[in-house]
Amino acid sequence: MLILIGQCLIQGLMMGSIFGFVTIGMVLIYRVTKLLNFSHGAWLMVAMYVSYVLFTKFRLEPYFSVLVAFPVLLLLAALVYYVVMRPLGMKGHIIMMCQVSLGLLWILENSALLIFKADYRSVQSVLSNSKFYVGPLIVKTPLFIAFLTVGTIAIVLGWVLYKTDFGLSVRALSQNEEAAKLMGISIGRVQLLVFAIGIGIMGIAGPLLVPWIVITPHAGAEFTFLGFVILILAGLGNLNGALIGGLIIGIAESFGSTFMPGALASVPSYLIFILVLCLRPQGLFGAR
Amino acid sequence: MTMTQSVSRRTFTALCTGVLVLIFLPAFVSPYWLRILNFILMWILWCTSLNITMGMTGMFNMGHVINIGLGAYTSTYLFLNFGISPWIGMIAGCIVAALMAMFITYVAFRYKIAHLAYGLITMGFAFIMMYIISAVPALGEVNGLNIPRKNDPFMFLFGDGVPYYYIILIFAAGTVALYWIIDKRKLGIYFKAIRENERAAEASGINILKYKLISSVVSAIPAAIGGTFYAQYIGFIDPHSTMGIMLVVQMILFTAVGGFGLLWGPTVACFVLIPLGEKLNSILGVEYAGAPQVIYGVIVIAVILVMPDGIVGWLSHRWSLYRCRSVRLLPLPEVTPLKIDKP
Repeated sequence: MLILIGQCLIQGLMMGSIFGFVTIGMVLIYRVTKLLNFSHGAWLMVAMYVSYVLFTKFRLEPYFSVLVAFPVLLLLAALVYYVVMRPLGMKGHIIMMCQVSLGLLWILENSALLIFKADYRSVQSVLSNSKFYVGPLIVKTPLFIAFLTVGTIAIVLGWVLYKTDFGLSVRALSQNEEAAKLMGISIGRVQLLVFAIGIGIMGIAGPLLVPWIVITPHAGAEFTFLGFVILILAGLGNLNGALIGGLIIGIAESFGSTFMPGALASVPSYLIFILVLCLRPQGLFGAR
Repeated sequence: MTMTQSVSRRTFTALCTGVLVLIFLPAFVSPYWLRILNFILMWILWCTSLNITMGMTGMFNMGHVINIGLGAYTSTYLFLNFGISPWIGMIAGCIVAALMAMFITYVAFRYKIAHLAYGLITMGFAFIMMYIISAVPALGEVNGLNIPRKNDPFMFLFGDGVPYYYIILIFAAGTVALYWIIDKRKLGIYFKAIRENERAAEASGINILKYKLISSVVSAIPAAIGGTFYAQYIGFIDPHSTMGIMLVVQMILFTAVGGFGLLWGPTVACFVLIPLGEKLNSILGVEYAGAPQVIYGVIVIAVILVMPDGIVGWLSHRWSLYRCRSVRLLPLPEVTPLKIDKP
C-alpha cells in the first residue's frame, strides 16, 4: 500500500510538472494579451502529430523532432497572432478573443481529424518501455526525461522573465498596459513574442509526451481543461503558482486514476479546484 | 412603455409573416429538412437562453450545458424508472436545473469570482456533472439512456417529426419572446447595467446577487426544456452529447456569429449556420470527415473578425446609417462590447 502511494506520488509529480509546463504558456499569454487561450491544448496535439509524421516518414526519434516542432509552432502562432488576435486585440474585444480561440480549437481538432482520421496512434521510441528503479519504486524513463527537460526550460523561462530586459517589458506589460506603453515598450512586439513563445513551448512539450501517450485529435483537450483548473488554482496569471498548481493537479489525477472507478478519475482534481475556490477564491498563490 | 409603442408597424408585419411561414412550413418540406428545421429551432432555444446570461447580463457562462443535461436526464430518469410523463418530468427538470444554476451563481458570487474566472468555474462544474453522470449506473453511465420509440402524445413521444416541430416552435418562439420582454422591461436594464459595469450598477442600488440569480434561473429554465425536448426527439442521451463542453463551445460560437446581447442574434445565426453545416456535411462529410467543420470554423472566425458585433449587429448598424438620412431613428439595440474588470 505504501509503495502504491509512493508510486502514485512519483507518477503524479512527473505528470504534474508537464501539466504545469503547459499551463505556463497559458499564463504568459493570459498575462500579456488578456486572452484565455482555449486552443492551447490543441497546439500540443499539433506538436504531437508533427512528431508522429517525422517518426513515420523519416524514422526520426521523437526527442529530435523538438527541433522541427518548436519552430513550426512558433511560426504558426505568429501567423495566428497577426491574422486573428491583433486585429481583435486592438479593438479591445476580450470576449471576442476567447471566442476566436474557441474557434481555433474547433479548426485545429477537426483539421487533425481530416488529415489523420480518428484512429489512435502511437510512436514507439527506443525509450518507450524502458524504466529504472529508485528503491522499490518504478520510474518510467520517458516520463523522467520529460520531467527534467520541462524543469530546465521552466528555469530558463524564469531567468528570461526576471533577469533580462525582455522579461522586464513582459512583466511591465502584464502589470499595467498603459504605463508600459508610456515607458516606450513596443506592446505589439512583446505580445507577438509572448504569444509565439507561449504556444511554441507546446512544440517542446508535445514530442516529450509522444513516446508514451496515445495520439488522437482530442489528445490536447484534457491538457487545456486541466490547464484552466491549474490557472484558477494558482491564481490567474501566477507563473510559479502554475508550476506548483500543476504538481498538485498531477498528483490528484494520479491518485484519482489509481483509487477511483474509471469514469471518476478526474473528479479529485475538480473537487480540489472547487474547494480551493471556496476557501481561497484568489487562488493559492494569487494576490488580489 | 407599452408593447405596442415599442414595435413599429413594419417590424410587426415582418414578424407576422415570419410566424405564418414557420407555421405552414412543414407542409412543404421533406422529412430530411424537417429534421434540420427541428434542430435549428432547438439550437435557437439553447442559444437564446444562453444569450440571457452571457449576452444580456454579461456572465461568461460556460456551464450552460449543465442546464440542458439536467433537463434531459431528469425527465428521462423519471420516465424510464417511474413511468412519469416527460411533460411532468420537463417541469421537474426545469426545477432541478434552476436550483443548480442558482447554486453555481451563488457560489461564484459569494466568493467574488472575477469575470473570466467565472467562465472557468462554470466549466469546472460542467465537467464534474459530466463525470458524475458517467459513473452513476442508474443514469446509464457512459453508455447513455435509450427512450423507446412509439406514438404516445401523453408521453411526449410521436411517430412523426411534425408534432415535434410545432412543440419546439412554440418553445423557441416563447424563449425569443421571453428575451424580448426582459429586454424591454426594467429587468433588462438592470441586467445590462450589471454587464456594463458591475460596481457602478451596485452603487446605483441594484442588488447584483438577486439579479444574477434571476438571470441564471431565467436562462436555465428554457435550456432544461430544450434538454427534455432533445431527449424525447432523439430518443437517446449520453453524457457527452448532452453535457460535453464542445456543445457549449458551439453555442457560444453560434451566438457570437449572430451577435451577443441582441434579440435576433442567435436566431439569425442558427438559420444561417445550421443549414450551411448540414450542406457542407452532405457534400464533404462522407469522404473527408472533419473538412466541413474546418470550413465552418474558418467562416465563424471570419465573421467574428469582420463583424465584431455579429451579423445582426452589423446589419442593424448599416440599417441605421441608411435610415439616418430621412427617418426618425428608432432606439437601436446596444452593441457595445462586453467589458471586463482588469485583474
